[in-house]
Amino acid sequence: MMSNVTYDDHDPLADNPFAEHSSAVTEPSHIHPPDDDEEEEQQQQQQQATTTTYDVNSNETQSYTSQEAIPPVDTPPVDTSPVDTPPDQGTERTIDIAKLLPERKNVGKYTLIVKVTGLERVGSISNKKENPTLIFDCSTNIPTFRKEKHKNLRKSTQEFQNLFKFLNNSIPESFIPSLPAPYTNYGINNEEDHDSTVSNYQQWFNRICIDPLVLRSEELAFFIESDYNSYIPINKPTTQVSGLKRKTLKQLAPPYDEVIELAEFRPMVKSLYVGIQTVQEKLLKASKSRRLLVQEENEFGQKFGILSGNNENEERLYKRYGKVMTAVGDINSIIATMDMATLYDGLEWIVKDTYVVKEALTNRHFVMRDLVQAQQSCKNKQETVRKLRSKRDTDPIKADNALRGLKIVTTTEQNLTLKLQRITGNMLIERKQWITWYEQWLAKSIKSYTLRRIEYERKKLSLLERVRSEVRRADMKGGLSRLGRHTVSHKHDEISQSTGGDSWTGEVRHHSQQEINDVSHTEFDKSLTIESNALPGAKTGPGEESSTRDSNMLDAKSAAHMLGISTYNGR
Amino acid sequence: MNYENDDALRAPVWDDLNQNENESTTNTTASGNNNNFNFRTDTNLNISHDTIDGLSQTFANIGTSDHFGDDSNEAGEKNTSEGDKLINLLAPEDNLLADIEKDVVPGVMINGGSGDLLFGGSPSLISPILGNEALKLNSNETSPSKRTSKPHSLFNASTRLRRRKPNYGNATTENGKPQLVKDTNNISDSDSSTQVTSLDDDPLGKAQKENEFVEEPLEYDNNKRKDVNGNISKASLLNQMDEPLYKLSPRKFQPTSNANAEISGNNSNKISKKDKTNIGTPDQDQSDTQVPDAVPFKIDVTDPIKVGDLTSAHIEYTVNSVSELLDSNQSQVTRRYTDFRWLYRQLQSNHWGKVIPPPPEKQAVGRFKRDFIENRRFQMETMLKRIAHDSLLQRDQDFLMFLKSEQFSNDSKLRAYATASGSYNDNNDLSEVHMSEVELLGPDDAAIVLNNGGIDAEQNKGFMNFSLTSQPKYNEPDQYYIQERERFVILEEQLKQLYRSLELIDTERNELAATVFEFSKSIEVLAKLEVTRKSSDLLNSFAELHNSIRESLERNSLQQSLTLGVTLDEYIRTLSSVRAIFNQRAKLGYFLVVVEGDLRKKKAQFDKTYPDFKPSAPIKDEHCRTMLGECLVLDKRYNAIKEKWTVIADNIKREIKHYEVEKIEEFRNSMEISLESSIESQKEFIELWETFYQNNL
Repeated sequence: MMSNVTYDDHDPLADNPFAEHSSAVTEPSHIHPPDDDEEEEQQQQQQQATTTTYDVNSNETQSYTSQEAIPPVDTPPVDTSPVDTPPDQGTERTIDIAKLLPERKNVGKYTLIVKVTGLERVGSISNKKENPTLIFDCSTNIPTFRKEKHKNLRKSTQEFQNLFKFLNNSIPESFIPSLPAPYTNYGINNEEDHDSTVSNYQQWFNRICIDPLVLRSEELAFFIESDYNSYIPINKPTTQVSGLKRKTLKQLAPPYDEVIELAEFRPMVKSLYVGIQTVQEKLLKASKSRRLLVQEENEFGQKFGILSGNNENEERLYKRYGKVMTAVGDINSIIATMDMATLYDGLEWIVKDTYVVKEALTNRHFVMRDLVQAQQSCKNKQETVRKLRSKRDTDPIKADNALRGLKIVTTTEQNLTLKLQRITGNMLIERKQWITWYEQWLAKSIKSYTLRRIEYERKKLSLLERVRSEVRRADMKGGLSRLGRHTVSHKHDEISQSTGGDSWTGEVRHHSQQEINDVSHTEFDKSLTIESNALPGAKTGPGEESSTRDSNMLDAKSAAHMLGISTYNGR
Repeated sequence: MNYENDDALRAPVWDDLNQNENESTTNTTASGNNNNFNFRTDTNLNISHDTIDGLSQTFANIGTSDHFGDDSNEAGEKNTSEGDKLINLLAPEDNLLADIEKDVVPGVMINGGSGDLLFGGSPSLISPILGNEALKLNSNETSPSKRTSKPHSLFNASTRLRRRKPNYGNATTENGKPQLVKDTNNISDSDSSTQVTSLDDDPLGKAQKENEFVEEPLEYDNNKRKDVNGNISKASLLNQMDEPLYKLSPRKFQPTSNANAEISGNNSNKISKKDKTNIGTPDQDQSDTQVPDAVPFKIDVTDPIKVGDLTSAHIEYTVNSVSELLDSNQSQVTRRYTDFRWLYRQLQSNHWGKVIPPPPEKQAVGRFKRDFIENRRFQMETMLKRIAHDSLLQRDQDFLMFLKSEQFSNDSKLRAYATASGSYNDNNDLSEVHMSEVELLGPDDAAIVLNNGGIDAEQNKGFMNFSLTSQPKYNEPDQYYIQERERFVILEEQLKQLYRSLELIDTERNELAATVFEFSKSIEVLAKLEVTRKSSDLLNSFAELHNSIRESLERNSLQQSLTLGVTLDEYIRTLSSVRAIFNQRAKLGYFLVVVEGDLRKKKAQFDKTYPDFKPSAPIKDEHCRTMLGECLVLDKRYNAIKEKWTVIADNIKREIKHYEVEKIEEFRNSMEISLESSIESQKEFIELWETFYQNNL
């Protein structure tokens, strides 16, 4: 009976959560001074203690209204034992978490293991780029899945986006990891792009799969088990504050947040969002100006190449020098692309994620606002009831109405309180996870950026060193070596990067033969070698000579180094 | 050969004296008489010594009197020889020589007078200075003058000997006229003219050197060269080889020998002996004479200071120079940019067919910006250093004057005026040239030409109508010059593009450095957020890394512009200078065509008017005489230009060869340096990245 009343009265509210509060927005006094809040907290607790019976109901209703994602089977009986007024909020929260987030009780209970195996780009060019299909296997023990193992599942990124949208809306407690970009700056249809997109999605799945709230969402099972290109969310996602209202609300100062970590987290994430975007912008600019530089370098190389000399040898020297300059320019252009593909794309994901996190935190603020409002109306109702009680002759109908109203608001308030506590608790956990992810991902991006850079800077060096001997040979007097720099004129010293390390540094860096070969062979060797072979009497570049020489030579020492840990190998 | 050497040994002594003497005579307006007197005594003395020399001496005498329009009574009979030849050129028979010659003289004389007027200003300016020396030297006059004449005649004799052979060829091929008797006449004529010039040349050259009175000697110099070479096209190579010598010798040894002559005669004697012997026997070791050792020069251009008010604001640079060639071994003067351009033009005018180290290009805006001034300073310093490095140019009187003169604006104007070098009407384009008529035709003839508005103006003079006939076009006969010129034009264009490209690279690299800087700044901002300690450390060092990269980029950019950029810039500018020497030849060729056309017209006119003219018969008709005289003048002019034209051709060939080797070497060096610096900076990049990697990842 009671539940019926609550349910009936509660229902319209649940259906239209904003109907009541929209007017509250205009109220200027929605922010309470901290001591007020303290009081409320106390009150809440009292009420929680007194109205234990509601707890079950409210929790159930909540699970129906906002926690559809949580399979009912999984909801354990809520422990309704009264909270012994904790003096310290931290302990209160930990207890709350166990109670409020039953999903997190046994984190390892349900597992979903996904292995992304491939990426397919088919169809029109825009489809190829924007909507590739991912192929993955998965195995799980989640009961919502019909099968434990699935092989060669194919999902388009569009479907992924649908899932993400749904999850993001329906699980306000979690920071749902944003989807990685469907394409990279490597350009589509090459191996690097394939590999990094696959690995990015793998990473995404990994992040999804450690979130118990997401795992328990039946939508995930629907997604995985639906046919290719047919998935659309089956459950209606809860509508969140959106549009103009959201915009307006975001203009207001955030409500008081007693959880400092989260209170500070949103501004930090926001400045991170802005900051990384600036970095991206600058990186893009740098990359663009590098490309411009490349244009000029290529131009320069060409101009050098056509430079007319006095005799054939001279012209050949110019031609070769020009070719090397052009190739150096080309390497610069590769570097520009790599910069974009490694760091820019890496940061791009962080930007997307920070946005999601920020908005999730904003949603929490909205819940907090709702709660404040609910508390206010609850207070009002309580006041009315008290007034009625103090009167001698009370109209029983009036009293009944007042009581019913009080019950309703109290329930709402409690629901909201619970919801907020759930959100807060989960977010505190996820915050840590997210920061770890951020740190790791940033480091990873920077690392791959650095590695690419080192690789290509090395290639540039080896290119430059290739033409060096020719330029020197052109001078009968031995070029700069006549200035007493005898070391540079020795033939084998000209290649400063070898298995023995780098000639210019005292630091021990051992490169494997493979690395040396990689470095001494660039994408532009063809244009260089064809030229030099075509010309009779032209020597092959020292780079090629040395690499053929080196490739046959793998002595015990370098082999040992290859096996051992070396900085250069680990990449 | 022996006596020649002997004379050469004694050379400096009489040289010094003689020159002064000559100077004094020219300054003491009674030049003609004095000269005649001197030469007469000379010839008398010389006759006992060597009759041939004496004869040539007198010839020379006559020549001068002819040139100056002096009264040449005693030399009358000798004068015929010159006229002889000229007439022979026109008409084969030898007949009315004397008469014609007499007719010619007045015509020339009038013009010569005007020429004197033209140049009248300068001698009067200088005469007071010279007065003392003239007096002093006049006392010594007799003995030196005696000696002077001898070596000169000797030298001339030797040149004449050399010339003999080519003359045959010349007679037939160049003039294209069958001449029977012409041979000997030609020789004698050329001898007389060369002697005239050579006699006047050296001493005057020295005088001018000393006193910075510079006009006439140069002209004589040229006259002589012109005469020598004009007649002997085949021997032109030899002549051209000596040619720098004539110029060089006074300049090279002037300061030292003069200074040391009185103090320690031995050293200077030795040097000047070598010099003289070289002159006397130019066909001995060419390379030796051609490349005298360059005296070490130390020049720097410093302290650019802005002077003048708003309207006349300009930058003055201090030019410090240290060298033996300077009187006091060192000097310090202030010069402005236009002065450097003047120097360029003046040297260009003084040394035809020589690639002159060019000054920086003109620039109208941003002249007072620091970078620009520094750049210009550097470029001008390089220019001076290069000039000083060249053994020929370093002795150029104008260069030395540039380094020394305290009243440069005056001196430079005088010199420009005297040589008609047009150094003050400087064309913006370094490759455009102005051919000094004075240098080309000698002062007197040049005066006529200039009065009439230049050589090309003269072509229309005779007609006095609107000759709508197209300008005579000069077609380069030697394919070599066309090809080379073409090649240099192409090379210049290529280099210009390369330079532009390099500049763009530089701009872009700096741009990149700027964006990298911004990037690193934005990373720093990110790091300040301190999301986690670790990430912010990483970001901090990442930002730091990019800062170092930016620095390295900027350094690299600076290095590139200092190595390849500077070399390219200079290469391009010297290519303009190279084009200038081709232009010089083209211009001479053009003059040649013009004069040839004039000559042909005149001759045709003459033939038409006097179809039955016989050179043997005396000319009675005044008009006929004038016409014949005009023909003679034109013919002489033609020969002069032709000679210059040939000389410059060989000069160019030699210069180009030399230039190419030098420039290519320089270019390659800067290529290597820039490559090395790229390699080094590349290593630095790798090192930066590696270090970052090892420390942070």
